[in-house]
Amino acid sequence: MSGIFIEGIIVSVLVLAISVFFGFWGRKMTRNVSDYFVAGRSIGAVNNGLAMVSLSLSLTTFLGLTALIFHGFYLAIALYAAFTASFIGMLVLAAPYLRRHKSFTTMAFIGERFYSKNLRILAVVIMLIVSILYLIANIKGIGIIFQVLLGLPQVYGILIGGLVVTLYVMVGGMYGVTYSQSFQSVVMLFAIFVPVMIILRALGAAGWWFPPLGYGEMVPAMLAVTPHFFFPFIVHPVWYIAVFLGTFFGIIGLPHFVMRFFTVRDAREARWSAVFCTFLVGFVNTSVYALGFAGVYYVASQGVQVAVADYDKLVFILTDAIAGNAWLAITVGGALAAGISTVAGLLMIMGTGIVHDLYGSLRPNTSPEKLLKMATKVMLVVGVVVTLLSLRPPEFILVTIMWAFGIAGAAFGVPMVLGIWWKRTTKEGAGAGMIVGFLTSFIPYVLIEIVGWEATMISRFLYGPLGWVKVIAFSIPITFIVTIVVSWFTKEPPAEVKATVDMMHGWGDYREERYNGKALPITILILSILCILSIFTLYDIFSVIG
Amino acid sequence: MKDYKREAWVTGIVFTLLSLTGGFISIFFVLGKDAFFGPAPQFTPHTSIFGLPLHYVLLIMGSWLGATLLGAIWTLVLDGIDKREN
Repeated sequence: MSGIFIEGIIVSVLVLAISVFFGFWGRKMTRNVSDYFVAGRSIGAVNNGLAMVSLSLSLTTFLGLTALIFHGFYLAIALYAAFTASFIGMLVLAAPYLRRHKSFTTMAFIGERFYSKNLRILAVVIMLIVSILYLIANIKGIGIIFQVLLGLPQVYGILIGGLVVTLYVMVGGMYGVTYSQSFQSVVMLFAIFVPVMIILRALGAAGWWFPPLGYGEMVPAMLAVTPHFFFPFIVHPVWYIAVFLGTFFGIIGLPHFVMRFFTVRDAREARWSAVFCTFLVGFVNTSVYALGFAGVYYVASQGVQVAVADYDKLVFILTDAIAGNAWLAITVGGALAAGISTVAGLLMIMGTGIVHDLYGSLRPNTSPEKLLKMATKVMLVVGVVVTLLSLRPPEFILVTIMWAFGIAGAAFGVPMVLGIWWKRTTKEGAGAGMIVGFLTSFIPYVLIEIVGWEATMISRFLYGPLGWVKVIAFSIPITFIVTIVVSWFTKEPPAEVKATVDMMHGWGDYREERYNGKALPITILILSILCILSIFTLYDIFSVIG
Repeated sequence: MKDYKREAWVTGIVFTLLSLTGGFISIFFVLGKDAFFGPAPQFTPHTSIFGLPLHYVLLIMGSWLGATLLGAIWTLVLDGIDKREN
């Protein structure tokens, strides 16, 4: 993989050209602000499901997951298993209700449900931080792809890839992004699934034709060279709770995932699109587990040396070594589709947040036509700025993404879920929860990833591989506790706000007793306290701990 | 049972089952065997499905097909409630 990779360039140019075509096509369909930001709320379940697949199968999956499996074995797979199931968590807790709320964005929902312009502005600020974390990791992946294609340093890949994606989001808005993402999903499914089959077949797996379960007979050979591949014991049980909380509330809190539900025709389409998406995402993810398994087995059994800096390139190394140049070209094209679709979704939410939620809040009399014109310019500025910020990317793609999930889960996921399911949630409660959730997750991020602390310097309970993930088992429960307690002790929301909760659940009339009982908040309080205590008490009852 | 209570109960049950399929299931294999500070427990998978260890298959299939099935059931129930409301 050195020098110019002609086959890869051909496939990648094709993927990019079709994506840009959809961007221009989307421009023709865009007539007003609603068209631009939420595709006129006209997207069907299958199309939206495919677009969600494309969003979720970012370079985190394509490159980052394989690298993490290479590094963390079972733990990486457990993390992604939780991510797969979290789409249904988002479905049952949030998706159809958000669609009925008629907001354009998460930030607008927070501003309106909690009747506060200040919270809407705070939400925009947090959204920008979370989206930048998510974007930087994906743009690093695009840099890797262009490094493979052109044999150039990553920095050029980041510049070229970032600017191309900015172009088609800028011209097409949400129509362009949606149809581009649907096309990219099909490319990705093919580009992951077929090479995995070829690799498994080359390694001698009889079940190569069905990658999710097709490598069973290789298990004894794997255990001979890597005995701990299926080993779940090396982390504290709370680690799994933290992963569950981070993924389930993180996906609700990440605005670019939630935004997809604002684009569908109605709540029913929102529900079925999530089910369809989960099926496809699970199919791809389980195939990537097979790829990770094959990568670990190949490297361990062949004695191949892979430098830590190259872990994120393992997919390409494996495909190149086993499947050959033609399939490597398709894999690179699929990876590019994965990267640009996610970057597009993130740029879209950042631009929408700045124009619609920040500028629109500060200058409420701005005409829709002016907002639309501004949106195009803001997309360009956001795209260029983030591309430049990405020139100093993180060492590992997936680590930054996991932090983004944790921060979004605490700062957005918790107040959103309570806002949907408990009428009594007040603006003071939500505001306090958002601030506590953001600070308890973002400060550890800064200390560990930017300042360079070991996780155990914050707390000895954050020991072990990926031990910092346990921060989430504290930040999300404490956000629940703060939001509920403060809401209880402050003036209840106005009647018209409480009526929107019934409306979100599909009721044409209003009744005070709906979604207003004490059972839900008390149950959540008890579970949150137990979760926080388990971080400390379970640690002490393990006899093996020295 | 009133429809809003049915909605809340169905959602609560589905979410609880999801927590199992989405990750809590690993806890049952780990509880009491945390090995980071001590000697690693002996680990030889005794029960396997399609050649893969049982706990692994439960994790990857539960989070995929299990979650999809739970989502489809929940969606059908909510579709029914929506029809009655309208």
